[in-house]
Amino acid sequence: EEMGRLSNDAFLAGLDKHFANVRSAGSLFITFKRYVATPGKFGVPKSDQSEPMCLVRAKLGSKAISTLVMEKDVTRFQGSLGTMMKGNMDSLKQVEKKKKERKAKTAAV
Amino acid sequence: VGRDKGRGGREQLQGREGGMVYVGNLESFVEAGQQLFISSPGKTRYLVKYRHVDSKLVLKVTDDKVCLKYKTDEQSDLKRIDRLNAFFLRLMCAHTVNSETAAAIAALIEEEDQMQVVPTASSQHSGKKGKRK
Repeated sequence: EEMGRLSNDAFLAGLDKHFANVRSAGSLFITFKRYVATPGKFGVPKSDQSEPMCLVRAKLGSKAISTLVMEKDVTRFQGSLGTMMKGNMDSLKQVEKKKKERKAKTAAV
Repeated sequence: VGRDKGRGGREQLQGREGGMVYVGNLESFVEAGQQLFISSPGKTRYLVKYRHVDSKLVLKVTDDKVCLKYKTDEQSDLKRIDRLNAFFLRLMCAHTVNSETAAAIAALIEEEDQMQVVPTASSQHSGKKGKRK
């Protein structure tokens, strides 16, 4: 199956794979944009959905996936996405509170 | 308000004059990013770039005229970023985008965030914080 427009769940599964692969190399891009379906070329509406949706894209190297999130699914999607990001972005540094205060003090001097 | 070109091209005023700008403070970036989206909901996009090998996370909000960026390598920023994701996801699906709907969504996210905080023995139901104007 071609990479591209997926269901919300398929997208999340694909994103999980991207997170696994980015550990060894590369940059993972996640983009969010408002998507409002516009009428097709001859004025015929493309689909039944005329409500605004959020287009979410994820790209690692040449592998690009995307999905459209509708308002009714946003809570669930956002929850899954948040868990996935917080769980996978673990190469970011934990700065201890003590160190941070010391940093702030030296910066203020 | 001049174009202070003497300081080297990149260090321009935040946003308005075009050009890439890194915002030093996450909260300021969030504020500016949200405002930018509200002002051009059709053109603005929000991007997250993660490089595991370099421990770098870069955020970008742009409407192709103004570009705001923020970079970090700290875990502690993730919590705020998660809330920003929630904000954009929700507002991007919303029927109308304006300051009112944005404020409503921000309040909703704030509320959900409060609910996740483990209540301490003496905590009152958001009594201390109250309604800040």
